[in-house]
Amino acid sequence: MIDYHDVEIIRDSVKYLAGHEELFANSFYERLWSDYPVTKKLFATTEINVQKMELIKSILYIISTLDKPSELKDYLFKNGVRHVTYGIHPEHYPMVHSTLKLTLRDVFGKNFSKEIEKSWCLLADLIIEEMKIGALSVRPELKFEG
Amino acid sequence: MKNDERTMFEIVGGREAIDRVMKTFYDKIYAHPWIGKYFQEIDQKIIESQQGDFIQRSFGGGPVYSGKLPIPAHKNMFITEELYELRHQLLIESIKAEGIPQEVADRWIVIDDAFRKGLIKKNISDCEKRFFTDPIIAYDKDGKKIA
Repeated sequence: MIDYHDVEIIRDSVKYLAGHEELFANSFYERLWSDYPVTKKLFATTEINVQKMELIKSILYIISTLDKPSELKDYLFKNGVRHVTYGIHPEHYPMVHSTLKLTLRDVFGKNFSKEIEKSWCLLADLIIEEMKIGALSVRPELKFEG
Repeated sequence: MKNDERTMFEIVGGREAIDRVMKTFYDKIYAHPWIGKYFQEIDQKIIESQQGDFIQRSFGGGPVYSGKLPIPAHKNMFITEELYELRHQLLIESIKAEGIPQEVADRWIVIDDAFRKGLIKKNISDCEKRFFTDPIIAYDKDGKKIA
């Protein structure tokens, strides 16, 4: 489970994203679609440049609310609900988790230490767990692993 | 099949039930002196069908929705908290009026409300055109155009 030390590490490491937001978003979607082609159709009606901005905004918002649990939970719950309406299924969550980690590794480069990797993976776990709660609140028949 | 394995789409009663709610809901919307103004250029049948597709997919009834997602689709509309709440209440009334099972009704309302923050705008200047000739759509409570 994510703790204060992880939060500090994540907040400190965000500096490696500064100025590389576009690169991060581009790399994320390129990698997602290349490693998991099945996800490409999920974005068929999406304005991808808007989506890329939303991804960055969302990550920064989540990081900014890591010390405001009720605000963060509410945001992630609703995000989970919205993703159900976008046609996102349980099997897509691990794909995003893996893509996030590999994209951070690409963008952070030599700064992507084991410690940073662990803290970001815990953050991704937290995001997914809370989003699952939102998804299941409206579609209880969905089957998530784990 | 156990009840907890059925999709919300099956429990709601399929597309026919969704369409009934959509008809009741948009009849109320189009008849309303304020919110109806926002829809006056759009064919009611088309919007009922699009919104029905969106709910069908959200409830696990297949990937039929091919329209814009809710937040980008409403970027050019000045939706205040009060206008949002009015629409939300009309939806709740419509779901209730059509006798939708409570377990689905509650979830339908949660889905609808998950977009609240992204749709509400504080100022007209927060609206954005979706394309070059896109109008900014804004009306006051008396139905008077304000943009």
